This record gives sequence, C-alpha cells and structure tokens, in this order.
Amino acid sequence: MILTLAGLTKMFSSLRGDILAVDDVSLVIHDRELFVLLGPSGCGKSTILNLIAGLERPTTGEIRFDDVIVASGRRKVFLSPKERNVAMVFQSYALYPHLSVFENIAFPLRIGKQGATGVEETVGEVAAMLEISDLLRARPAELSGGQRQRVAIARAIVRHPKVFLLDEPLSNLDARLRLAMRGELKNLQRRLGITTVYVTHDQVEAMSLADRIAVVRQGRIEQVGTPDELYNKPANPFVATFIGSPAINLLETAFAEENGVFFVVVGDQKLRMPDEKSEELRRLSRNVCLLGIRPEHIHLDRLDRRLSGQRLKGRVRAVEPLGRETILHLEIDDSRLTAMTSGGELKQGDTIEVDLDLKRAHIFEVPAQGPRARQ
Amino acid sequence: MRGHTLSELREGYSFMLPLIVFLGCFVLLPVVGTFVTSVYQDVTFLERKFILFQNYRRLIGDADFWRALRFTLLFVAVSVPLEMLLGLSFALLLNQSVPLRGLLRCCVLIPWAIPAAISGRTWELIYNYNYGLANFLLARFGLSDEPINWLGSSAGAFASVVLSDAWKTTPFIAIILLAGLSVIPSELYRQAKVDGANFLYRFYRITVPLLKPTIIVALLFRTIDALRIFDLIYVLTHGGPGGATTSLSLYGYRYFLVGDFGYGSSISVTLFVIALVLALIYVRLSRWSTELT
Amino acid sequence: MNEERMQRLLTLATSGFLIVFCLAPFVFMAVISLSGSPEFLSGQTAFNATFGHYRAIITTPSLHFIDYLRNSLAVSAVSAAVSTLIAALAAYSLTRLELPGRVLILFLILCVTMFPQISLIGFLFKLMTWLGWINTYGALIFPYVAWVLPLSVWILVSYFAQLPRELDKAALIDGCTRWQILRKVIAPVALPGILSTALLSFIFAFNEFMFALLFTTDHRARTVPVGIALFQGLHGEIPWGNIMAASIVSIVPLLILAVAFQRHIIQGLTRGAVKG
Ligand SMILES: Nc1ncnc2c1ncn2[C@@H]1O[C@H](COP(=O)(O)OP(=O)(O)OP(=O)(O)O)[C@@H](O)[C@H]1O
Ligand SMILES: [Mg+2]
Repeated sequence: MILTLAGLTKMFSSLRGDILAVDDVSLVIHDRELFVLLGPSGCGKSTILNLIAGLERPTTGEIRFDDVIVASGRRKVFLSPKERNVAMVFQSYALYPHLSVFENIAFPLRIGKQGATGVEETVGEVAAMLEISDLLRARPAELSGGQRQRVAIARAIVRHPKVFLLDEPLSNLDARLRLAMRGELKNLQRRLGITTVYVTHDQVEAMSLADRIAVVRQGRIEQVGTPDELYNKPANPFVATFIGSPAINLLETAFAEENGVFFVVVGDQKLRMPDEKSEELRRLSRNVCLLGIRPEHIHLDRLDRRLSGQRLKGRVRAVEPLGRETILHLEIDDSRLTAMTSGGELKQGDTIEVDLDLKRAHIFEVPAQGPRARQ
Repeated sequence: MRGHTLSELREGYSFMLPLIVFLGCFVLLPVVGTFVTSVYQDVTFLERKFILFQNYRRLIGDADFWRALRFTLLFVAVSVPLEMLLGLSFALLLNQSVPLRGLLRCCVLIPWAIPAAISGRTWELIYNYNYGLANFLLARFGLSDEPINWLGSSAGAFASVVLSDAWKTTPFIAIILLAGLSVIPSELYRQAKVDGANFLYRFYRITVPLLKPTIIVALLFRTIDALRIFDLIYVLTHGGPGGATTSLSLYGYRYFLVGDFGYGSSISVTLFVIALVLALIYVRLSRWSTELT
Repeated sequence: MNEERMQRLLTLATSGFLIVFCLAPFVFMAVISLSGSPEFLSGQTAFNATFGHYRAIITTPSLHFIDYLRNSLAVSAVSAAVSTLIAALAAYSLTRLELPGRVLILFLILCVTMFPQISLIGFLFKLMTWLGWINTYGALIFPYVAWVLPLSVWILVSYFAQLPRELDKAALIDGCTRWQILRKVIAPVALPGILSTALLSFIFAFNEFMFALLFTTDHRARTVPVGIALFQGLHGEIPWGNIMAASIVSIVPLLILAVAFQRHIIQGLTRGAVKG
C-alpha cells in the first residue's frame, strides 16, 4: 500500500502556548517499504506516527492510503484507527496487563468479532512465527523485555494490517537484544510485505533497517533518502551531523579561487580542493563554507599510505580506543578534528601528519547564525 | 483545545452526563433551593410568602441560634486540634516498622467504619451515671470521689461529645497523615541521623515542614466535617442538656422536622457560608505557607 | 542508645494506647451485648453471660432489626454499585478525553464535598414528598449516590490518571470504541481502584444518618443506624443488651470488609483526600 502525506501540519495548544509539532510534512512511502523517521527527541516523530494511525487529527494537510483519503484537515475527513486498519507497536509495548499473552494477541480479533475458531488458529500461527507459542498462557508481567516485544509485535500483525507503525520499539531493550531484534524485525517485514513506518532516534538502527529514511527536526523534514544517500550526500549540516558516528567534522573555512582552482584554508594551511568540488563551491554566496569531513575520511601518516600529498601538521589531543578502531581527537593549528583509525599506536601529544580526503568532503553554506548554534 | 468533532464531544460528555444529572438534581439544585427558600416564609399549612431577610433578622434575635453557633464553633476549635494531635501521633507510630503494624492499622479502621449513630449509643451507655464504664474506671483508679454526671451537665456533655467524636475521626486523620508521612524519603532521616540530629530536631526540621501540605488538607477536611456534626449529638445528647450541645445542623434539622422550611433554610445557609469562609481561609493559608517556604 | 531506648518506649506506649483507645468502646459494646444486665459495673448485679439479646433481636419481628439490616445492606450496596459505575464513566472522561470544561467539573466536585448535608435536606424532603418516595429505597438511594459521588470520582480520577496513555492508544488501534476501552481495558486494569472505591462508597452509605432519619418513617425503608438510634424499649427502660447486640451484628459486615480490604480502603481514603 502506498502511504501519502501531503502538507501535513499538527498544532498543539497547551499552557506553554502553541506548539507546531509537525510542520508541513509531505512524504510518499512506497508499497512494502520499510520507512524510518529519524530525529532527535521531541522533534515530532511520534506525532507523525499518531497522525498516520488516526490517534491524532491533522490541523491541516492530508493523509492518503493508496487513493483513499483517511484524514484531511480541509475536507473534514477523518477515519478512526479501526477504519484505517493500522497496527502499532509502542515503546512501552502497551500490553494489556490483565490479559494472558494469548488474549493480548487475540484482542484485536475479538474486538473485530471474528469467529472463535478462527481466533485460535490465527493466534497460533502468529505466535509460532514469533516463537512465543510456549508463552501463550503467561501474563505480560511474567515476561522479559524481549518477550514482551514479541507479544506486542504479534498483537500488531495478527490482523494483517495495511500499515505497520512502530514507535521506538527497541529502545527499552538492552544492547544485545536490540541488535538481534533488529534483524528479526527486518526479516519479518520483508516476509509480510506490509508497508511499515518505523520511528527511532538511533541513527545506527535507522541505517541498518531502512529502505529509506526521513530525517526530522523540529517538526520538519530535513531530507529523505536511502541510507546511502543520507551518508554520502547529506543535504545540510544537520543531516550530516545526525548520520554517522562519531559525528562528522564541520569546519568553517575560507576558500579562494585561483585560476579556476579552489583552495580552502584549514588551520594555517591552504589545501587544494579537487576539481569535482569546484561547481559546488562556486554556487556559494560568500567566500566561506562549512567543510564537512567524516572521521573515517581523515588519514594519518605512519598508519595509512593512501596519501594525497597534501599533508597537514597536527597533534593528538586525546585517544579513545574502542577495540577494533580508535577515535583520535586532533588539533591542527587552532582547528579541532575527530579522526578514526584502525591502529592503536598513537598516543596523546604525538605530532603527526594528517591527510584529509577532500574528494569525500561535504560542502555547505555557512548558516547565518553560525554552525554550532544550530545543532 | 484539541480538535474535537461534534460527535466526539457528544460521546465525551455523555460519559459525564450521569454524574452531572445526579449532582445537579440531588446536590446543586437542593442547595440552590435552600438559598431560595431562606428568603421565604415557608411553613407547612401556611401560604408561602416572600419576606426577603426576615428569616435572617429573626436569626439575629434568636438566643438559641447564637448558643448553637457558639457550641458549634467551640466544638470545632476544641475537637479538631485534639484530633489532629492524636492523629499525628498515631500516624507517626503507624509509619514505623513496629511489630504487628497490620494489626494496628486494622484497629485504627474499626472506629472509622462504625456508623456514628451506632457507636453513639455505646458511648451513651459508657457515660451512664450509674453503671457506665467511664464512672466505673474513674472510681476504680481513684480519680474522682464522686461519679461524674457526664451527659447531665453542660461541661460533661461537651466533653463527652468531644471525646466520642475524637474516637470516631482520629483514625481518618491518622490515615491521611500516614499517607503524607510515607512519601517522605527515608534517606532524609538517615542523613540527619548521620549528621547527629536528635529525634526532636528531626521531627521539627524534616517531618513537620514536609508534612505541612498534608496537615492542611486534613485540617480542612476535619474542620468542614466537624462544623456539620449531627449524628453523634443526635444520638448521644439529643442536643442537651438544656440545648447546651445543640449544633447548628441539629438546630436547623429541628425546624425542617416541624415544617418551618424557611427558617431552617436560613440556618442551613448560615452554616454553609461559615464552611465556605473557613475553606477559603485554609486555601489562603496553604498558599501562604507554600509561598513562605 | 539512650535516645533509641526512649523511642522504643514511646512506640510501645503509643501502640498500647492506640489499641485500647480504638478497641475499648467496641469491646464494651460486645461485653454488654453478651451480659444479662448492663448494670454489672455498678457492682449491684453480677455479670452473667447470655446470648439472649442476639436471639431476641433476630427472632422478635416487632423489633424490625432484620428489616433495618436488610434495608441498610440493600440501599448501601445499590448506592455503591451505581455511584462507582457513574464515577468510573466520569473519571474516564475526565482523565482521557481532554474535554473543555473538565477543570470546572473537577472544581465543582471538590466544592460539593464541602457542602453541609443540612443544606440539602429541606429541598430533598419536599422533592421526596412530591415524588411520593418518602419511606422507600428510592428516597435514600438517589441522594446517597449523589452524596458519595464526589469522593468516588476523586479516587477513580487519581487511579485512572496513573494508567499509561499508550494502553488507550493500543486499544483504539485494536479497534475499540471509547466505551469498550473503559470496559475491556481501563476498568479491569484499575480493578483494585474500583474495588476500593466501591468499598468506601458502601461504608459511607452505610454510615449515613441524616437523610435516612428524615426520609424514612418505619421498618420498610429505615436503615440500621437510624433503627439503632431510635431503638426504644416498650416500657421506657432502654434495652441496652438488645441495642448492643444489634450494634454488633450490624457492624460485623463493615468490620469484616474493613479488615479484609484494609489496604484498599486506606489507599482509597488517602487518594480521595490527598488529591483533594
Ligand atoms: N498531546 C500533546 N499536547 C501538547 N503537546 C504535545 C502533545 N504531544 C506532543 N506534544 C509536543 O509535540 C512535540 C513533538 O512530540 P513527539 O512526541 O511527537 O516527539 P518525538 O519525536 O516522538 O520525541 P521522543 O523521541 O522523545 O518520543 C513535543 O514538543 C511535545 O511536547
Ligand atoms: Mg516519541
């Protein structure tokens, strides 16, 4: 099913004043797609999900399931969650504490008035699919976090919903379980082929799960794209910073053009930009830019041999060994950079030569109020 | 406001409708009716007549009314502090991990659960001049040479009512205060103990300030409740001797009983206004005390 | 260590006082109900144990004690059930639906708890007379429901407000109507709260005196508190033994409830009050 959001806006009035929780969001989510809404806490992800589910009413804008308008601010159309046939999994799972696992899963069917025989069977199938057949008699309070998660998912998919909505379903699990469930969820979604919207604030989760991601910030969509696109072509500094760990280095640098060749200034040194970046730099309005370089695109002498010949002198400020790789905090003149290497031979205070892979650098306009203030 | 549609509003208010109907018909309407009736001459078998404030003027000249008012206020002033003190000490006790705490809690609930009209009869017997428990105990422990005429003298009747009322309502106060006590984090006490603060200091510096909001709530409830005392007096002293323990509720009730609704209503309105004023004073007090701290 | 010992002593003394203070009148009531004559404390007659008073109040139809008890139980049970149901509906709407005017209603309910009962009875008496309900259960049940509603609503609001909103959302998604959410999810999950509310309402209704005194005239609707308050002997002599036996029999259901559901009652009471 294709899910379309068009110019969707949601305003909350509270004692604190009006809050624009969702601000002119337009999206097309493809059939069978696993679509992730990614953004920091309070940016309005859950509100968007609630709007799709029919738990909230849009202030303006329209939501369509295929060609059916399920909610429209202007046309006064509003279908209830029941009529939309959506399923949802909540962060807290929201299992009914007074019902057994079986009754929890059967609940949507019983409300939907299916025959009693059908219920047994369907619940059995879904429970088998999620490997919780032996838990059917238990109460939610007796289950572990991971098991509750499975029950919540079983309850959601038992009705064969048109859309599957998940609101941070993994954030209450411990790290190991989260990893395992992530894989399972993705498999399940592929197998069921249900259009899915998944909300998270964890970029790793988003990157590993999503077919496509929308990055949300203060109720607005900053960029929509595949994980690759977001990583390689972030539309703005916010997206660039939000995707990737450790976070991208953003340097505010001056640049100049000499005979068609562009140079940027990093620290006290001038570096030549590769020719393919010229077009981007020429489009900027001023002679300063925000240069984004991911830590994994900074190469260090002695450790890496893929040098471009443009070396910067730097000093190691701090070393964070993570096992497989090491995060280095570097100082180049008065600029600070984070780099990632696979070796662990450097230590604090070492002087090194640094090579920036400028071909993979990202160039952004310097925002009016300065780059740090916006994050 | 959230965007409610008309049908949602209708559904939402339909959930509240029974509440509104019941409160409206059997509480709000009667109160308004009482206010209205209080400016009428409304006596059974007589023509109903609008007389504005004549009922109230009659109140001012009515010595029995003033005596009832004085008794009611005096009763509140004596019994509420007494019950608060007792209740606080019970609550402090029940908040400790003493053995048999469950049993103590059950004991406390017993006076609360017994209807005042029923326990009132028992108290009547306890205060009996000839063979009551009170005089028996006084004689047995040599506290008084003469048996006391509990219900036959003004002072004795007043004391009897106060004591019986304390028995019935102290548990309620203890339970409310207990709830307030149980949310005071025990780390505070442990910290103070480590700092070498003694028992009294801990009580005044931790318990009292943190319990203050609960105390004010309990005071408010008890004061309003004590103002309208009726059952116990009706059973125990019938307002006597010689009207010495007639409360405003009982005094007003007698007029309703004989069919003088106008005058009874004006007494009710007076009691209502007193309760309102006291409630407002408490609200103001609690606001001051939160502003000060 | 001195302080600790003092504290222990104080605890012990207060415990003793509490037990004696709370139980003494009750024990006295029980003793008199079992004694042939109430006068044994004066020393002129000896204590002689008997069940005669109990037999008397149960087997003497002209005392109407059984009628009073039945009236009280019926009126209190119906009032408690109806008021809890109404309060649950209202509390659900007040905590979940964010309707305009809900703060006003909560405030109104709080005010109603402050009203003196005497300010209602004049009008209610006329109303009941006009309806021809005097001396019927209706004359008691309707005012009782209204009278205990504010308390029930406060308690249930505080219970319902604690339940996570996601439960409602999940139920909505699963296709429930508002009414189904209340009946199939909220009410079962808040069952302890509903139970304490119903218990408290029952005890409050059972305790009520003024309405019952004025709106009933004889054994067909008179409740136990009024019955016992007006219990008179045939020849002017007060039948203390019978009164005490009747008292014991009628408070036994209350005490069993109070002791068995001690935790629920204390929780309900404190919520109703502390929230207010
Ligand atoms: N019912 C409501 N009334 C008023 N404001 C609300 C309501 N629901 C959400 N908001 C506000 O809307 C904004 C977006 O909230 P939302 O729950 O959608 O954020 P979120 O992205 O899901 O955050 P989180 O990751 O913390 O769950 C927040 O500022 C929140 O305070
Ligand atoms: Mg959220």
